[in-house]
Amino acid sequence: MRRFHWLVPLTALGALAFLYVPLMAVAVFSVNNSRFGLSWQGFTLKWYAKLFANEQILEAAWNTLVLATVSTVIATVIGTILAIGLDRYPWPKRLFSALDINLHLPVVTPEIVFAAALAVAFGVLRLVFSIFEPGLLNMIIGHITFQVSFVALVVRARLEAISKDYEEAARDLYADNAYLLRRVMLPLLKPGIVGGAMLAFTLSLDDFVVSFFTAGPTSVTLPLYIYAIVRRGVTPEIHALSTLALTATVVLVMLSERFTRKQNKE
Amino acid sequence: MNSHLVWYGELTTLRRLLRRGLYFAAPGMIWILLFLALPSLLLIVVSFTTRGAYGQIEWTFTLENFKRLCGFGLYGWSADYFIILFRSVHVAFWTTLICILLSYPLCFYIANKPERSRYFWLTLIIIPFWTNLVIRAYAWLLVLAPQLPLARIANALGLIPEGTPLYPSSFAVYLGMVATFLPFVALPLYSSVEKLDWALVEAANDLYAGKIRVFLHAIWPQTVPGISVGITLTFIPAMGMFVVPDFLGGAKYMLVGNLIQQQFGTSRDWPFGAAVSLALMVLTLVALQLQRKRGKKVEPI
Amino acid sequence: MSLEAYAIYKTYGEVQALHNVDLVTKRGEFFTLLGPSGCGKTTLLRIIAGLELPDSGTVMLSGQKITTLPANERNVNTVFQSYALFPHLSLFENVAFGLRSRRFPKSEVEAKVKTALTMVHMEKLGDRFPHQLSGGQKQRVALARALVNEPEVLLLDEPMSALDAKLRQSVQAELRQLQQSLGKTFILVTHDQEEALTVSDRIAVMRRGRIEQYGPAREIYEKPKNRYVADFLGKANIIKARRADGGALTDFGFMRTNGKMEWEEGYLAIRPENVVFHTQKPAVNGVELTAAEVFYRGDHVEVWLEPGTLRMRAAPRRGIAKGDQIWVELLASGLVVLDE
Repeated sequence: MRRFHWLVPLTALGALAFLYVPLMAVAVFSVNNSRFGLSWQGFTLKWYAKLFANEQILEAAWNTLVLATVSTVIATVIGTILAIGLDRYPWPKRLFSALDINLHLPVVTPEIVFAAALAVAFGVLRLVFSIFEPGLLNMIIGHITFQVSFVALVVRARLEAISKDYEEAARDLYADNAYLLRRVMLPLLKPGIVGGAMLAFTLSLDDFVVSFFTAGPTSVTLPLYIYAIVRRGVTPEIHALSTLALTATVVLVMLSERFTRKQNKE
Repeated sequence: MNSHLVWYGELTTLRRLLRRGLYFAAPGMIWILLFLALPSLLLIVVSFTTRGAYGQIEWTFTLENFKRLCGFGLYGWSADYFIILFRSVHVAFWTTLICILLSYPLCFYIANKPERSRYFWLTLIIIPFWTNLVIRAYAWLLVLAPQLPLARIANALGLIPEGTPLYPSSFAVYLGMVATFLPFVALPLYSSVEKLDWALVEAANDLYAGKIRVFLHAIWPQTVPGISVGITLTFIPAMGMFVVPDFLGGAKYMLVGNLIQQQFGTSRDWPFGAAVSLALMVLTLVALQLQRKRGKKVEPI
Repeated sequence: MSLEAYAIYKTYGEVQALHNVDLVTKRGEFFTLLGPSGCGKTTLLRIIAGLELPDSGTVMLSGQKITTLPANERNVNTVFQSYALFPHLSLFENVAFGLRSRRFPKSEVEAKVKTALTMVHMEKLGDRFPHQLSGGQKQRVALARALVNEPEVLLLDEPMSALDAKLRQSVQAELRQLQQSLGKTFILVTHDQEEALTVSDRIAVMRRGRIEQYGPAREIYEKPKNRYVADFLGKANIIKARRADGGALTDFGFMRTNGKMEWEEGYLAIRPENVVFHTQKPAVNGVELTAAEVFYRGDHVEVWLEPGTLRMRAAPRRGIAKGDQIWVELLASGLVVLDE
């Protein structure tokens, strides 16, 4: 244990407080029995109850979930095979560089530039195909685009760690291409695939910018809903909703920690 | 032997291998090309078009948008847009710097804790990292509200009139930005700090009198990889951020993100929005290049 | 005729890994490829397994050409240096892998796997997973996994390198016994010459992509062809010599040798155990030297003799002390003529 200058723990704890004070404030006011104003009026859970009666919120929640699930499933499949295709095949150097740059484009591009580009692209596509009206389809397409990169990167990291030995051993033991993929590669990749999918799912749930530029009137997601309400005027229901989201995050983080720790043991 | 080879135990030809590789890689590659690369190119093209009377794109090519960006508007020259661009870089820079300054003590603190409790402290950083940006941003509206302590103190100090919140203001924007990006710097930095060779620091402590020199020579070089990742994850997104300035900065404190969003929203001026986006893309590329060059300079240490 | 390879060439970029290598193994023999790292022994093994393609040359198994046969169609199985046990499968499933991949019926798979696991004394641990095993256990499972497929030849790539010294000795003996009881051809790759001597019927000593010498273990040890082989297997004293009538002229005088000299000037080799202590001048091949250093090694002492660089072994009871003048005989039968 190192003895630090007293400034170090002070700043550290200060930084943590800085991160949590706003979130704690939201949680506290989500159970405050007062519609306007911020003076304490007693404990209540009625704002949470109101959430579940609010059609718009329920619809937004549903949209968020559908969007995240559909896009994650598709992105995970595309991203996984992309990772395998990039890592396990003898691409000539130049071609590989180009493919690698393409892979990293979504990660490096500022979200707002990507979102603006999508808005323009869909705008043009709309002139030909009417299905590209702002809405769930556009959002799914937008989400998949950045999810694919993240999934591919996570799976690729795992893939690089899988030794060549296993595949050679499988061949030595008479496996053909399909058997090798099914019985050796994919099972060994499972932690990476699951990790990538979880990452993609979370990114979609939390996404704001891309959703903002591609959403239509009937495809509002929770982040978009919260944004709209905040612009009009913060309400306690929003505090309740946010606290729920925060709790969900806490639970998910703890679950994924346990999951990764179990993986590391094996 | 006829150009056959053995690849991961499989006997085949290069051509057959690459063909199969293409089947695997093509869907993803094509998707990104179709929905990111091409739209970006389209965006660049649109930045040279004109806005029609009803807000649609008119395909007459012009440099109007860029002239506007440089300040040559309808009412003579104004540096408005330059100011917005500069402000975005300025805010991104200071946000990143402050995050770095806060992250070092935070990471040292956690790395110094016994192994068991480290996970707990890290989780404390990870939770805000995964919490929705919109929630984290609007939460500050609450903290900076007139009835809460912070605003009251500012009022007592005579900084703001009674009953007003501490937003919209540049102070609020900085608070929000730093709070948003702190985990993005702290987490990658932590992975470097965890691997820190404290023996080097002890040695430096013996050699150098000032703590700052100890830091520069012993600690900084070892943490460069983590800091690099942190900077990439912070500086570039910060330049394009719009939710935080939108909530906490108001109309007077616009950043590039707000400007772009405005063109695609209320102003309905897609060509101009495209031009601003292009400007942001250029800034991003410059930042990335600087990052790479700096990375190369640090390598020899 | 079991596994044969002829005129194998393999180059990686600038490096020539194998240069015109020929290999002929007999059915049921334990054959070892011995050499330092980089000599090409593993490359040769991988070519036999089908994991590498030679630039040119032929590989035949029981008279059939398999050079261009893919690895997964060759009736050859490998025990990898890292064992490569599939971490996501139980031991049972690991061993069953080669059978299941060929769609063997369930009942047959069960029976064969059981037999294979019993053969390596791991029958009760079928449900365990690789990460729960020790190095020695993993090796057994790797063996079982390969042998369950009843290959014509079993290849082993430095299988003992991950085991500690004590374990290695018992495993070497067991491996030898297993091979004998199965009567299968085993081809082992190693850099450990003791291992090679312990288990092999025949050894091929390799250096930089070529086979320097091959033959029965005893022959290689007692009659090395050149300095490299002499030095690689056990310890050897190298003595410069000039051809003379009936023997050779050395710094120690005239010596009778084992073998004819094809050269005028060259080298002889003699193993330390063939430099024998005498209480008085021996009849032939004798020389009087000083014991410059004496090292106690438990079951023998090693004596460094001067002048010259001769090293000998003697029984500790001789009581040779540092500085003693002693007579030694360079046993003619052990004084071998080297090719260089």
